[in-house]
Amino acid sequence: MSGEGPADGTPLPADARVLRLPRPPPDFVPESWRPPYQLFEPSSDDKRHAEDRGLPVRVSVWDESLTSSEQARAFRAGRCLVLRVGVKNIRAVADQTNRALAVAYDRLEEALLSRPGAHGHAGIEGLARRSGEPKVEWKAALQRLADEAELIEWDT
Amino acid sequence: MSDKASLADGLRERAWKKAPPLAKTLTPDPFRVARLAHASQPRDQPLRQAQESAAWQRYLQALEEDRRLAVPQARALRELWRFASERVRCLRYPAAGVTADGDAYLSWAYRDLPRITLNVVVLRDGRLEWAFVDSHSGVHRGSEDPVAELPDEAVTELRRFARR
Repeated sequence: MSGEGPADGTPLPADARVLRLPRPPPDFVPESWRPPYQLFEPSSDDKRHAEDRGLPVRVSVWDESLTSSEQARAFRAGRCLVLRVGVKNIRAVADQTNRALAVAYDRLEEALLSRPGAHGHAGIEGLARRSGEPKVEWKAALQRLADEAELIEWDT
Repeated sequence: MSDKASLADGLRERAWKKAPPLAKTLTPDPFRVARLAHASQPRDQPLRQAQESAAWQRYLQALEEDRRLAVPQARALRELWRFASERVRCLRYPAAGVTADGDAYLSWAYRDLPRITLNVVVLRDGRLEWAFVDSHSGVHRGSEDPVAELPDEAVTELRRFARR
């Protein structure tokens, strides 16, 4: 079981859609809200993890064709918010913002691989702030991506 | 939403709740999404505004008890809302949260204003970073370094988010 699934770093197909379960979800959302860029911001843990593995910084997502939202939620404790975004939308944002955004499978640690949906784990690369990049420009790029995300589930 | 539509939704919702787990893994709960869509019905607007206002007050009241926030940060969040809502009449409530790294944020971004976003980060020491983005024109402006309070430039952008 644990040997199956896409190899780490394999790009997701352009027609794939990914689920993002940001941790933690927002504490308050008003009517008609759009997700803030912070829900796609790499955390210090994401950066440390990437450095330890010698890989690009990846923001955790799940390939919807391999992992259902319920399976993805099982990897999270507590309240969940589930966003969905198409890989082609992410690529469009990459073009608009001149960033090397990519979505690649991100193999979970061995102990987790037997859990349902584990092989669908992936990551969006290219979201970390580049050295010398103006902060506002970086936030604008992340907000462009957040604007592409569709809210599909939300535990209030 | 008509009563008939409401009844139909109720029946479908009950059916979905009784559905076997496999069916639920294949499709997300459509009723959460439906409820979000129905939330834009004008008939319910006063009630929804009252509920939203109450929820926002609860959020503000809970800030001091939120252990993820530093004391100056919780104070700054409350002060930021007071400052902004005093300067911008009928300012809409922002989305609010705390990142995994402990930065708090308020985000004015709405589906009915799809192009523009104003985001304010409240750092642990209570200082602020703001960013305004107009994704249509490509204009973005904001602070590269933390500031003690929102500058006039940010307040000007915030006026775009007043209720009409």
